[in-house]
Amino acid sequence: MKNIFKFLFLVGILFTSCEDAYNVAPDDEILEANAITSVADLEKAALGVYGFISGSNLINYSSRFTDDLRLPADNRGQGVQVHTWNITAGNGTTTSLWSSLYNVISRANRVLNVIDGISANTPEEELSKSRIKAECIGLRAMCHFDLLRAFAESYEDSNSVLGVPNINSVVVFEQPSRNTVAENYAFINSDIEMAMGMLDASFTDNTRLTTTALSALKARVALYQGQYETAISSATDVIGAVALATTTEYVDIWTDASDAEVIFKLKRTTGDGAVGTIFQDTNGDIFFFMSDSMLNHVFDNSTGANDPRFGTMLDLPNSSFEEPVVGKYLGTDANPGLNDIKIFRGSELYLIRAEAYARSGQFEMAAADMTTLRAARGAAETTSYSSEEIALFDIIEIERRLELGYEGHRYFDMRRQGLTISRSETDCEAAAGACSLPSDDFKWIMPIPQAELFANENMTQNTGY
Amino acid sequence: MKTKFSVVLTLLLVFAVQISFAQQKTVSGTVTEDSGLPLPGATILNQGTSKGVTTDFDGKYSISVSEGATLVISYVGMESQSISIGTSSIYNVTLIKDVSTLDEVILVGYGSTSKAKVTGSISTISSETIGQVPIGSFDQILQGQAPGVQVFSGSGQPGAPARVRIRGNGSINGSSAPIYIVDGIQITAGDFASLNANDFETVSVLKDAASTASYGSRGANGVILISTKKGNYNQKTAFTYKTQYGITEVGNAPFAMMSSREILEFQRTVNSGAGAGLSDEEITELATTNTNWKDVFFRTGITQSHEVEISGGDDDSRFFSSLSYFDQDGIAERSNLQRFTIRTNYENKVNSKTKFGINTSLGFSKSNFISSENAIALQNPFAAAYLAQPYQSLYDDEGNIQTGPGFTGGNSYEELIKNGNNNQQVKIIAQGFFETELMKNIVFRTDLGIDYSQDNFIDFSGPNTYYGGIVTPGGEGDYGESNNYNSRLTATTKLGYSNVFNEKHSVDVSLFSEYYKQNFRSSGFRGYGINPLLNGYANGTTAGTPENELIPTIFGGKTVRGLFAAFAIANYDYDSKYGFSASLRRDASSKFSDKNQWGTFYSVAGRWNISNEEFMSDVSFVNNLKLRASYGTSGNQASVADFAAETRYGQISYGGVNGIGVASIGNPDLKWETSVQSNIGLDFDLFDYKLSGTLEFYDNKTIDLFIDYSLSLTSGFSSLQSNAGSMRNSGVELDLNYTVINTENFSLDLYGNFNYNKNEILDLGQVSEFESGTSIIREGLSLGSHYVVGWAGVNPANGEPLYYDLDGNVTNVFSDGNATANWGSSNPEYTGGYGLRGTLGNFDFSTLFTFADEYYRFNNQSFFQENANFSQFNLSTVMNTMWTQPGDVTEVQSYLFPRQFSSKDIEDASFTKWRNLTVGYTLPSKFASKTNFFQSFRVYAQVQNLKTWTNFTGFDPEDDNNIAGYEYPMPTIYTVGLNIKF
Repeated sequence: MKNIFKFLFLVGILFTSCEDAYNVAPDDEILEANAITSVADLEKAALGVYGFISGSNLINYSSRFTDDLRLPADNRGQGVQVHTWNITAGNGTTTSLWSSLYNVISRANRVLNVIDGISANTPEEELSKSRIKAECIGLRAMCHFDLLRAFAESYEDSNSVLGVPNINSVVVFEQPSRNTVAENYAFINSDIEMAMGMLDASFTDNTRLTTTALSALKARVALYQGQYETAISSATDVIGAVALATTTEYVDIWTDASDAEVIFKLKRTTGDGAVGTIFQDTNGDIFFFMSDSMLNHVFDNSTGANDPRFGTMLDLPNSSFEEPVVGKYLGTDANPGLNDIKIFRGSELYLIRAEAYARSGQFEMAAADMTTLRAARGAAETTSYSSEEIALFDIIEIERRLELGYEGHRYFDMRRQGLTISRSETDCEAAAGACSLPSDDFKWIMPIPQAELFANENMTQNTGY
Repeated sequence: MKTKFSVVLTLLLVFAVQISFAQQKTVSGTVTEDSGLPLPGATILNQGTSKGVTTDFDGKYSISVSEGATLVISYVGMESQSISIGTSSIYNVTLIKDVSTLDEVILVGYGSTSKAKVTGSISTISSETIGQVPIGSFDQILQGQAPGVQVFSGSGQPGAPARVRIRGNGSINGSSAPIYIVDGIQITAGDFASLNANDFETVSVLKDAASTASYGSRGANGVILISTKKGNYNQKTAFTYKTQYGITEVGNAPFAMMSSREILEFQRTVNSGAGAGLSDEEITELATTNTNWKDVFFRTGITQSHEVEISGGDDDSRFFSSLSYFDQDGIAERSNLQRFTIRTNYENKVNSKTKFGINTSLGFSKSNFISSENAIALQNPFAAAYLAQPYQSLYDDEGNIQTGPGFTGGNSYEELIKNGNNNQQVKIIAQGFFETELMKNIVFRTDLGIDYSQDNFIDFSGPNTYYGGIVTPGGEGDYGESNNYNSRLTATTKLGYSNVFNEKHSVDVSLFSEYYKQNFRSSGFRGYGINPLLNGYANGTTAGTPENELIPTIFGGKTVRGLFAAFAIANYDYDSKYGFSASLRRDASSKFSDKNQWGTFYSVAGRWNISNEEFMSDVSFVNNLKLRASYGTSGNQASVADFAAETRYGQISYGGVNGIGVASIGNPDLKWETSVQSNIGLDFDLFDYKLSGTLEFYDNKTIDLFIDYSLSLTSGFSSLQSNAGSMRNSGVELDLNYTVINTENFSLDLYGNFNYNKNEILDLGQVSEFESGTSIIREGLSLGSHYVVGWAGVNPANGEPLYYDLDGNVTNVFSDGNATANWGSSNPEYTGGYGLRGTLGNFDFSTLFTFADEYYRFNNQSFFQENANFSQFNLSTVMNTMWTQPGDVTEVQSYLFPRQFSSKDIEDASFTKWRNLTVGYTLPSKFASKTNFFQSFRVYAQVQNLKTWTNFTGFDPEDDNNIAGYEYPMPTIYTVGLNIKF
């Protein structure tokens, strides 16, 4: 009898379920259910959205693809595929451009998905909530626009041109097809309007999206879209709010010592990716030199000693005519190549407005903006235009290339203008025969990534790939 | 002669002495082996009493017994004999070797059984095979020891683990590694540097569902069960000292690199690098330096070990203790392993019904590693040995190492000798059990154990070294340290019932519960701006400020995961002729969502001991014949991320401020990957036990494979871990042992094991194929199939490389779209080992060969050293045959065309390795005993990795992955050793 009790007792021990073995608490994990439950969490999530923005990949592609850089003979493969237009649907650079932009969009959408359910306890929190919502919507617009610029068949505001999928909610298993470019513009502009309506003008942190930054984005979109009146009015809003940098301030912008005319920049600190490594490795190995074509452009078109751009485009102490080193992103001694990434600067708005004026026949207004901008860079002469062609050549091919060099614009400007890349003999010496790319070549449009086509039955590839 | 004389004398005595009657009398005699040699140390036990004696050095014994008593004479490895005491007072006994192995105890899941009663597929490896091998990681010693157990070592770093696969790769994205159980405790796979394999008594490899199903969700890839030495009851305490001393050397390096003159002239030809534009005279001048970088980086290392074992026991308890020291230098500068281990095993019988035991092992190891091991990086000395320029010398005129951009050899050498990369590990494996017979036929047992390891990894670079100088931030060196604490707790409780009915029906049924929990914690930091006076120490780092930007980074993590299981195992035997086993297990894992937490696994198995049938009694050449079959399921959950069912957020910082963002999307439908396994086996002993072996056929089908389901990138994610598809591994295993001769002075056994494994991907769910690195995962192909464009040679007219398109036509256009999968797999189809062992007088010898066939590897090294674009580094002499003028017939294209990856880079890596050769000499016991100092004395010499036969052009065809990229090759190790038993 005693044994039976002993037996039953032990059977009891044996089958006592030890639930804590398989029901484990997520100690150092943040699960979705408890990730965002307060406005403070929303603030963290908003920072997270910014943290996903690469910023440098457009600068990378634009610089390496076009005629702004020269491949040295001892480059060991870094960026060679893009530079020599050896681009297929499997290309890593274009794939990561696509995926990182949609990464930001998906993170923004996940915040937007929960934000209305988070209650604000104070007026300050209410204000924060509304700001965060505006930032997420604004960033969503900015990323969609970058996707459009890179992957759309053209920039024509038309329903017969394929753009990119508009993603305005959390998707996982969905297989979205491409929207038209007109639908993209409509979606982007509506997001911008929505964001502007929610964002308080008192928020002026230029490492975040502000009303000024949204206006700048609106102007940039309108220029691509061909909505020149909007471009002019939005650019005017920004120009009214942001003064151009002085020549001394201008130099300091590139060491991040000055925020003059910097409307929106991505803050970069130790541990973040160094944008300067597009051009040279942190150990000093040069991946790309400034191209001879760009070097000549800088010499011919800047105002010489007075022009601060001379010394920022080039790393003068370490450059020679044979080996000109790009100087815009030199970082610090401790962190070579690590600089904030400027998304919008005041000068771009002058260039946008000038171009919009020129395209709508207002040459004097266009020339006036150019004169203002050039004066700020140390020039004494005034600019004047006699025709749209002359004006656009001067604004886009001369001044934008110089003023916005290595800031991620050249590739898009050439696409907008239908320009041909023709590298000089010296520039294409080591470029495996990649010397000329006609404006009608299919490689001007980035391929939809192979990984996307693989996973998404409704996706269509751009022509040629 | 003397022995023969004593046999004759003994016989005479047997016939002569017929007298003497007494109630209690003294019986004596000699115990001999079947060869006639006296057998010292045999046990003579008066059955039914605790009275016993052991034989002396001449095999003689004397015991006082009563007439009618039964004496049981036994000796390890011999069949025991019983003799009834009659009127004689002299009983000489000849014990025969237990070649039948009928009573061999085989470890099975959660217990042990006799070999005859095993129903599943289990290979056993004895301590004689695994002991005394001067290799720091136990899993490497399993190479070639058991059929179907593939052991591929990926590194010659002392103590580095190997890749172990049992019956092929069972999973595509999940883990295919087996689990390791030491004395009932699961220990971390691939973590053996702090364990002493000489402590292991037996190793059982469980291969089919019948044997692994009791491990449920962990058993799908096989189980390696290890039992450590326990000592013997009633054994006088014995001390054994073992030592080994020797050297490690770089083995054959079949590649040839260019001399200074060759590379400089090549550089001149391609107009790139130091030789570009030089005159003949200038090249001659530069070529006066011709550094052999292999000599710089590789060395002859020392290996040594010392070990003391103490074991013994009395009537109620037994113990085994050991203390060991192992020290091995790698063949590359800096790399080594030093290890201390201490083990104590103790077992005590409290009474006839209850016993308990404790097994503990403490290991401390310290390893120094090379930099960037297995990486295609210039810090890696095995890359630098190939790529460093011979026209550069290591030292400048002042005797300083030449470093700086372009000084591949000097930079890497400086990195090795001035900077550091090491780990200190403490590992504790402790296990205890308590077992008692609750009532007749019912046994209760509980096991509790822990595997705890603590690692302290340190790496650093000095501010005055080249690589320290390019560290960001700061460019002034760095110091990083990380600490891992890993504990695994296992608690198993068993209630067992066993009984025999009508003497023929034997039944045992056991119920178990098992609790398993792993706690893992890590933390670490990396600091910058190193003070050169404190290089290599944490306090040499600079305090970070926003101004100096030398902000240290801090990292860490914590993981808890667990399993709980309830299961039953039943065995039935009828008259030792038929047997049936079954198991059923319910398992809950912390890794899955609530709805998929529990999994059910089962197995059924049967056996037929044909040789025990009446009708076999006349078939004299068959000693033993057993047919067995099994079917069942086991699960795989390893490598599933914790909380994979949940969408998880991670820390995302922006501008130095922490935020959060979704890091991964959860899949609440994720569940176990299941392996459905069938096995048929035949065990046999034939011709008076001369030929023994096992033949097995298996078919394992993994269903619900872990596959990454590809998502549209617009979701913000590229894939989701999910279950889909199936894959099959089927094959044949043969294990043979043949005793050629077995006499007093000469014995010779030949042995071999062989496995053919065919892997086929049956179904992939969403898709029919996807690329995975340089291989393709495609339905109908085997896992690891290389996927590249076919190489069609070089056009002799213009030096242009030619390729095959998808239709097999030769084309000069290289396109990724023309990739095919006709180049074999990185997982070999044929593997095995064979060798011989024997004795000649007092000498013993053994040797082992292992092989792999239908084994192809991607030689990524040739892309670098057979590539004109990399002429700033040294190149293979193959490049001397580069096409230079029309009409040249060669396999090396002109430098004017880009070098692409193609089938040219896939090489047949099939190999045969002469793995081990041992020759030993044991001092005859009569001499040994005369010293009055030790009981036995053996001296031996052995060589590991003597030679490799292969067509592969890299250092070592054997590797744990598909791509050759400057791995640390296996060294050749020469040692001499000494075992002394006191």
